[in-house]
Amino acid sequence: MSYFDELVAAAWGSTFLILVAYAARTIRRGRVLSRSLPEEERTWR
Amino acid sequence: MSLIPKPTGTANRTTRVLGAGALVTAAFTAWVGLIESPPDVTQGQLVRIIYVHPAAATACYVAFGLCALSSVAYLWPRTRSRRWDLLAGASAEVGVVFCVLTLVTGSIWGRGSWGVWWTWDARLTLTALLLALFLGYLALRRSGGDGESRARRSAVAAVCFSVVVPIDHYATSWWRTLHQGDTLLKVDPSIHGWQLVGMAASFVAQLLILSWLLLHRYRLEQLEDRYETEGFAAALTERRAEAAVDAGSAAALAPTPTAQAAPEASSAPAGQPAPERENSQ
Repeated sequence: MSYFDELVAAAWGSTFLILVAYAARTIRRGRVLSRSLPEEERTWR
Repeated sequence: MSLIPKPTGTANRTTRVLGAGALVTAAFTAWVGLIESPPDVTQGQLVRIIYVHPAAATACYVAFGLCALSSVAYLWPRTRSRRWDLLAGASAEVGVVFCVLTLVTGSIWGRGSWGVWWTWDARLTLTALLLALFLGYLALRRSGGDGESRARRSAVAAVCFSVVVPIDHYATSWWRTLHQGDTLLKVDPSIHGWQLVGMAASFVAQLLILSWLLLHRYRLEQLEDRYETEGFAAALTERRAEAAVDAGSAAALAPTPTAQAAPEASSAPAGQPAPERENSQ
């Protein structure tokens, strides 16, 4: 693997990691907070 | 008991469709960008970063632009609604994530093509400034004060900060910069074939990801707002109930001579007066 290949892998890898980490954090927090709502109000239209 | 569980969290049918679309286009972009498209004549394999970096920058601009538009809608008396403020907050946070992505991938690309991780080029500096400004905006949203004045302050800040977005975009045209200019927004684009397909797919993928994240983050913002408001109201009700119990027990104890002879009992912490008075006797 050449140096340029490593740079490409780093760019794609960091994009994937940052987006997945942020999405997971947002969804997890939404699930935790929605548990405090009454069940009939948990549906999003 | 229903076979389908009650939905929890911030997802619904729309987010699932958007998420599926984002996954499919992202996978297609990865296939074109990493496998199908040929290396560039001058940049070699390094050109494959073009399938993540410009799309991330565009998503960042769109998110900050949406933040500014929502803030204007909040400030405009006819359209003022708490929802615009929540949408502004959500889009600013998602925009910050894409701004970080832009800087990280741009820095990696710069290391390969210019030989340095960072240089004080106009485009790079303005993007870093944009990140700093919107981080400040997010900090401002968490500052003190009542909800309405905080929202108004944040909206004014967002409108002022978003002026940097078009300056950042046109920096490569207005000044001599190391950063290359437009690739697609030209009469005759400088890329063709699989490179053009891959780049177009990357824009679609990241804009779908942006929409998906925005919907989730906006709903989370609504939940947080509701939790904050209702949590405060519940705490206030609880405190008033405690105060009423305190007042009731104090009134019941007032005529007794022992209670009058023990003035230090009135300074006891809330919720514990009656047992302490009984013990003090």
